[in-house]
Amino acid sequence: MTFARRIVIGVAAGTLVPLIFAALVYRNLATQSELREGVRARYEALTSAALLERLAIDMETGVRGFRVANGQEFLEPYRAAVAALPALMRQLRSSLASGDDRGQVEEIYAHIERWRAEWAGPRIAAIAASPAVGTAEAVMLLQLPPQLGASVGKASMDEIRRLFDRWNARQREGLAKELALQAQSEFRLSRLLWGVAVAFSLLMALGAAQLLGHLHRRMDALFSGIRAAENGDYGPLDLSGRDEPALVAEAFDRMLRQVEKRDAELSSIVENIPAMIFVKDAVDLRFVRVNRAGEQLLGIARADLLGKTDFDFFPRDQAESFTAKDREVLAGERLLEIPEEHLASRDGGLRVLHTKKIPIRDGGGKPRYLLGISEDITDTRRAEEEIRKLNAELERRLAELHAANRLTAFGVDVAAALARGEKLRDSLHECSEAVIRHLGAPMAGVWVLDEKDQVLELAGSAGFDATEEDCQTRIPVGTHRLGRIAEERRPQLVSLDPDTVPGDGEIWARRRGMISFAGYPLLAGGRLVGVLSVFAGHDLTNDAIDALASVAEKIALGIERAQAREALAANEDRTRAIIDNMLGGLITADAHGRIESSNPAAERMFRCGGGGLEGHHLSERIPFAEAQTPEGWVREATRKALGRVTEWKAVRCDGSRFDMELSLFPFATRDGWHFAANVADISERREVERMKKEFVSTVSHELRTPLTSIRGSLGLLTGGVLGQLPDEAKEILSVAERNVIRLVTLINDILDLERLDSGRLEMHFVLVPVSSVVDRAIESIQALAEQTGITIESTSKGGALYADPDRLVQVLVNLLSNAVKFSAAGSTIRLSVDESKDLTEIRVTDEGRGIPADLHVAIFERFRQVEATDAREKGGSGLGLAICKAIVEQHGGTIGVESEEGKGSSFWMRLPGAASPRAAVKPGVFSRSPRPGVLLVEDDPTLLTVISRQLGEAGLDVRSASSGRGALALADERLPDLLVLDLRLPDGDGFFVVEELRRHPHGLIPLIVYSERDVTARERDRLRLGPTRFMTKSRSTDREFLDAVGEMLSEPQTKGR
Amino acid sequence: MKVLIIDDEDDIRRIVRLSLSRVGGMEVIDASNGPDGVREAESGHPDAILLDMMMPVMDGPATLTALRANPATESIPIVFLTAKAQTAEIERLRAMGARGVLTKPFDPLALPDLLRAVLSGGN
Repeated sequence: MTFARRIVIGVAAGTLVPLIFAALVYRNLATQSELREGVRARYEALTSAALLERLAIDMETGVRGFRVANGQEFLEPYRAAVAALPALMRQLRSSLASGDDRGQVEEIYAHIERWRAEWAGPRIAAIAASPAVGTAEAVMLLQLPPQLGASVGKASMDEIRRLFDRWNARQREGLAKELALQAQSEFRLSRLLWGVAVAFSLLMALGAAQLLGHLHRRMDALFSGIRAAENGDYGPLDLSGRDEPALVAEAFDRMLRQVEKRDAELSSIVENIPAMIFVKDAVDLRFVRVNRAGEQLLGIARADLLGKTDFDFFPRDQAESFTAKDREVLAGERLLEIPEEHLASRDGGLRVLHTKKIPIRDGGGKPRYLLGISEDITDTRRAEEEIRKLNAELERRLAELHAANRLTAFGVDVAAALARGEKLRDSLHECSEAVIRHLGAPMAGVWVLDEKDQVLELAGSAGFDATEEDCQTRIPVGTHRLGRIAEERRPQLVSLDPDTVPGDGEIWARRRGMISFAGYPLLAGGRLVGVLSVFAGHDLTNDAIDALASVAEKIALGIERAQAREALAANEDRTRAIIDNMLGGLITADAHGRIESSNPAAERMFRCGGGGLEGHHLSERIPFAEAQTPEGWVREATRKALGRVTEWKAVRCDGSRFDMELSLFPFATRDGWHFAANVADISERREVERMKKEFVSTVSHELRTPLTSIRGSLGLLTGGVLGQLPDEAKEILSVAERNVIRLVTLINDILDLERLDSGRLEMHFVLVPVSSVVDRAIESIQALAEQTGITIESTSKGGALYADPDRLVQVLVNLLSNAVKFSAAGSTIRLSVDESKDLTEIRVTDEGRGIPADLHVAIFERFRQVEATDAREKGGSGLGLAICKAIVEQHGGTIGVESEEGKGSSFWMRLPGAASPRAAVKPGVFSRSPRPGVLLVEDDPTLLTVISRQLGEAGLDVRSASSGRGALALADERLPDLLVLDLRLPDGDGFFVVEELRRHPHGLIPLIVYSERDVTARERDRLRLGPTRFMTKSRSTDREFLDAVGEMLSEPQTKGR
Repeated sequence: MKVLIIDDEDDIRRIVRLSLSRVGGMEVIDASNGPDGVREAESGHPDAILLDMMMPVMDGPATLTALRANPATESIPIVFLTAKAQTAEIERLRAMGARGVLTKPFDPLALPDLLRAVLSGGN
């Protein structure tokens, strides 16, 4: 039974006793109350009876007094008593419920009533009610019957009094009895209360003693168990029973099990913890416990360790150090932390330990054990060291990266500024602002070099007003700091110390508190374009120079780009102006022939103002029958007019037609191929040509007709056909005839030259024997020679020439007649023909007076003769040799003279010989043997290869040279049948090759000048060799080139252009 | 030998007539234009005709064609006398049937011989 229950039962039992006593007390108290109530009623009845007695007396007294004295005033007490009587009776009746006492009171009352009814009642009532009260009549009434006198009613009254006395005595007697009863009851109650108190106390004391004894025994059992556990005996704590100590023991036992488990866990933890945990005895510091980590760390087995001291394992100094610490801990009685101590373990070398030492006290508070915890931090220390190093490296790297980032941001800012600005000035202004931002400097400026004047010009600035009075905006290179930076192309970092000599032009900067200057040259690919300058109110460092260096080239390139853009724009303007103002028309079209642009001249030409040409197809303006579709037009037009000047009929916007010269050339832009068309209105030229032709025709006919008549007439006269004339007349007529002949010759020569120049002199090349030409020439001159007594010797051979025989005869006749004219009578003129494999040379040698050396070339020019008078004397036109030269050149030959004054002259012409392959070549005969030889001179190795292959594939024997000298060497070795010559050569231009070959006896070979650029008319004259053709690489297709080669090899004739 | 000269220029006709008759001893008839020349050739039976190139109404080649088309005159050798002496022209005229071409201006003393030479086959 639990203590709680025991106590409840005890208390319940204890309470029952007082309850019983309480019931007894209650009964006693009720009796007492009844007694007290009886006493109170008796007192009340006594009081009321006394009052009733009083009233009765009052009434009797009043009536007696009235009767005696007849004073109305005596009736007053009577009347009051009568009035109070009923109420008093009611009170009495209620307080005396029944019994004798009430009966007696009723009896008394009945007496009183009788008295009143007998004596006083009716009369008094009448008098009292009559108005005659106090009057004699009333008295009369009262006094009747007089027999009664004054003693009337006295007996009744006495009876009443006696009744009262008896009642009162009886009441007093009852009261005394009741009071005695009451006192007895009170005594009984107090005795009862005392008894109860004593009994209860005794009971309680008894119960408590019993309970305490039991509790003491149980607690003793419990404590003995706990003490055992305290001493490490975790045996089960079993208190039988179910009372509180037993429950506590049970709970304690559970706790013990937990503790036991925890202890096991803790041991396991301690055993397995990586740190060394050891316990030493506090007295002699012997090891009493050590965990596995300790064994491993020390390298000593547990069995060897326990019971030993530090001195048994460690060097003496170490052991002393350890034990000193142990003593310190035990003396100080609190934890000691040793952040780092070194220990020489048996196998692991020197270890670094982090140790904590804690005293463990016994129950009396005295140290009993020393607990040590040592952590092996050797590796940690090493790692920490590593981490420290890594951190330092990382911080260094981060600093570098940060700096680089700043520079990158700077670069990005500058690049953005350069990319953003439409105008260079705006860009450079933004660049300056970026410099200010990044360097924290208040002023920066970009100076751009004016290369022409060698002056630096402030092109963009930030932080200062360039118009400030002594701030220069133009600084010549070489002067001032900026100028020197530009000159030396080296950056400068200068402190503007006010103590030093004031720098040039920097006073204004100092005035604004600047103390440091940095300048950096802006180089774009090695070219100086400007200088970057910074002023700062703090000392600028080399970092600032590095920062400037990082953006200098960007800015420089930006400036260069902007300058190039401006130059380009200027160039465009110039080109535009040229195109807009040129006389020739220029139209560009896309690859499909759709017109993209036209210049004003073209619009005027086509009478299509305001861009009326654009968007239309070229075929609308330049139609031709062969091309039905725009594509066909382009194909046909490029075939005909690409790189060549060709003539077309064009249609103006108003529908009218005109003759037009057209030359197309292709060009490529980023958006593909285009054509440019050079157009010229040649209507006028056509008209002029027509008129010239007409004029020539007119001259030839209209002039010759009258001359024929004159010449005929004079001839007939001088010939004596119409009879003999006087000698003088004959002489005069001869003069006239001679001059007419001269005039006719002159006209003929002029016409011939005109035809030769315009290319309209018809040439008919045939294979002709040289001898026939020579014979015809001599035949026609023979008569003249004989007249003057001159002999003509001819050593003609049987070779053949590919030539126009009539023209060749004309040349020979001219040369022979000249020789005749200038030869003395009796002298001999020799005509010789010399044929080699490639060349036929015809030479006319006289014994005349000769020609001065300085005129050897001049005489072949027009209207040039050795002497001005010669023409008139000898009847020549002065055009003969010029015509000869033109004709010979048309044959691909050369003409010249060798002469010495006074020793005669030797005129020669060299013509491609009949033995030359060309002489026999027919179109398309490249396959014949031996193959025609081509000498290709070209400096571009790629082109050289390409063209060589093309020519080789065409069946030609190709030799090539990449220089002029090389070409001449090859030509010396063997003359080619055709020379293809580039003008641009590494060792000079193509002109010298032509000149050298001209000196070569057989050097006048067919030539194709195949050059990058167009050749001017003047240059063409210098470049002629044999039959010569000029082609521009960019304008000729491969086909055209090969066609030209074919023509040159197969057709030795050519026109002069 | 009888030669017909067809030329619109009176002066030329006169000089040729003098040259051929006086120097060459030939009989000469003439006409001043193509149609007349054709009639003269029909009626006069010349041995040769000297024909000018440039003439109004009917030029030299046209006259030649007319003469060659006429059976009465088709066999008469025709020689042109012209100021236009281009080779191509000469070839063309020969192809049309001309015997030869003599150029203006001419030497009146040499003309009869030249004519004879042409007529005899050389040129």
